Amino acid sequence: MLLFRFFTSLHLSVVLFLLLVVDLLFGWYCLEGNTSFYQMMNRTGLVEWLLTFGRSDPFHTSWFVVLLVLLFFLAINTLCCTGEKLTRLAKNFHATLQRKSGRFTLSVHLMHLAMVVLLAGYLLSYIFGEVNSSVAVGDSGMTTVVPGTQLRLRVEKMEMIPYSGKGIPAFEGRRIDAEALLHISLKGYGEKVQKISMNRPVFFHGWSLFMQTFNPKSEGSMSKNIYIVLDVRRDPGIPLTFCGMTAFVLGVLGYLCFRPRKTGTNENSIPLHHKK
Amino acid sequence: MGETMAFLSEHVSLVMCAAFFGGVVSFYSRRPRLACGFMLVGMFSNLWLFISRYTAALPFMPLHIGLIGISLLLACVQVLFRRQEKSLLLPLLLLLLALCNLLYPKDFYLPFIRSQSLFAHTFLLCGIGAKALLILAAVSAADILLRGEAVVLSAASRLVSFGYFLLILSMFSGEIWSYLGWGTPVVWHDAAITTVIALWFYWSCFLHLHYIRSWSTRWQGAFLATGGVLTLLVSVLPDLGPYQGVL
Repeated sequence: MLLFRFFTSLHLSVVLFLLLVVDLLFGWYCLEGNTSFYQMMNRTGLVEWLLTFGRSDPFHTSWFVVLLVLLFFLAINTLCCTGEKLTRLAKNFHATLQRKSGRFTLSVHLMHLAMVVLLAGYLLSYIFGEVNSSVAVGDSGMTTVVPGTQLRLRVEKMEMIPYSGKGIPAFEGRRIDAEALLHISLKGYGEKVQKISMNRPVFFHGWSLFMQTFNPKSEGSMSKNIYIVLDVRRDPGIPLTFCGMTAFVLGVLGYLCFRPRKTGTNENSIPLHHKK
Repeated sequence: MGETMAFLSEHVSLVMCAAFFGGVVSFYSRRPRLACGFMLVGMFSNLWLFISRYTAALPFMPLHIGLIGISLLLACVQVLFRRQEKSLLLPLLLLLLALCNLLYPKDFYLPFIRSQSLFAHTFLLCGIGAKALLILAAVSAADILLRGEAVVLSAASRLVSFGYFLLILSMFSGEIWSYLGWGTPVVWHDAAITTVIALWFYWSCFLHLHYIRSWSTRWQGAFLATGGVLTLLVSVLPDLGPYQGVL
């Protein structure tokens, strides 16, 4: 019971928030000149990254470990507070929905739950996500098999998008995007032909393909080979992450619409240890 | 084209800085009309800088434009809503931002090609709006604290709420952009991500502190003002280029 009271404490949330701010500012300092460390996390996954990069340079990676611990406690704190409050509200849910203050309270708790869902989504992505990075697919009609999978890729047609603006002289004559018609097949799941470009991924039976780069980048390029480079991912955390994001935005909108007029006054404050 | 723009940009930055300096001096010597004129010149110079840099970079997201964007929004607020205010805080802040912009020697940086996305622009513009609102909330709170008045900071709190909403929009559109471009919603190798998340936690903390009974107006003001300094630091420092190391 004492432990539950500790985790429902608003003071704990405040302390955790402030510690997170300090830790992230330290992270900002650590990132200077060490960005390549963190680039690898998107490819190797969290556990592998901690066991390799985390071990080799504990000073510059410690803030990230601390961040994970703090976020874990924040998630527990949020779940306890919101769970306690929502259990109480559930007894009189219809009456709560009728009142503006009730809708405000529900919006706040929607934000809290959304944050936990968001964190769970990130965790799932970093732990169970599979990445096949830098898969090159040429324009020559050859089929590329993604290593470790049954995915077969082939570029059917490719169109280069040149820079058409005038504001950046360095970009004149350069290509700023490539649109490739990608043929994807997976044994037992059929096939699909879809356009892929930068910022426009392709999704196929749980796999997502992201264009990382393309060649050639300019008309007079030394390298004449035409190809695209893809990151092929399977990420179970993404649906949860996007659900969390949508719910959080809805919660903030509700917070803004239904908030009491004088939120800055102490008269509107509610007792500590009571609710979040 | 690029050289002419850089030349013009440097000179307009100088005009903006001089105009905000004139505005501060006029405010100090109690000449509100003259101060307003100076601020107007500063605001239009700022607007020109912002639009010229933004359009030059299109269809990409311009880099290091945050400082100029925040300064533009604050200048608009000063000219449109705070003409009658006697406080020197916002004009001084505008002068500081103009000086930072003047110190930064290179106006145009090559944007990265993956930034030609609507989400990248939303991330940038909502981020600028959010930071400007949060800084403005801190300025109003600091004004009240400096005057020693014991009034409720509901106006500043409202600004924080809207700033927080824009910050959320900026952060989530950044995550969608990151997902579509890199395949992951959070890329930890970009220092801008850690600073935005730090700001999110700080202002989340502020919104939670409302529910504590012992949270007095004075503490609320102090927390707001500190948040303003933090927001200013994380907004200005990355845009200072080589001068970042000096600070």
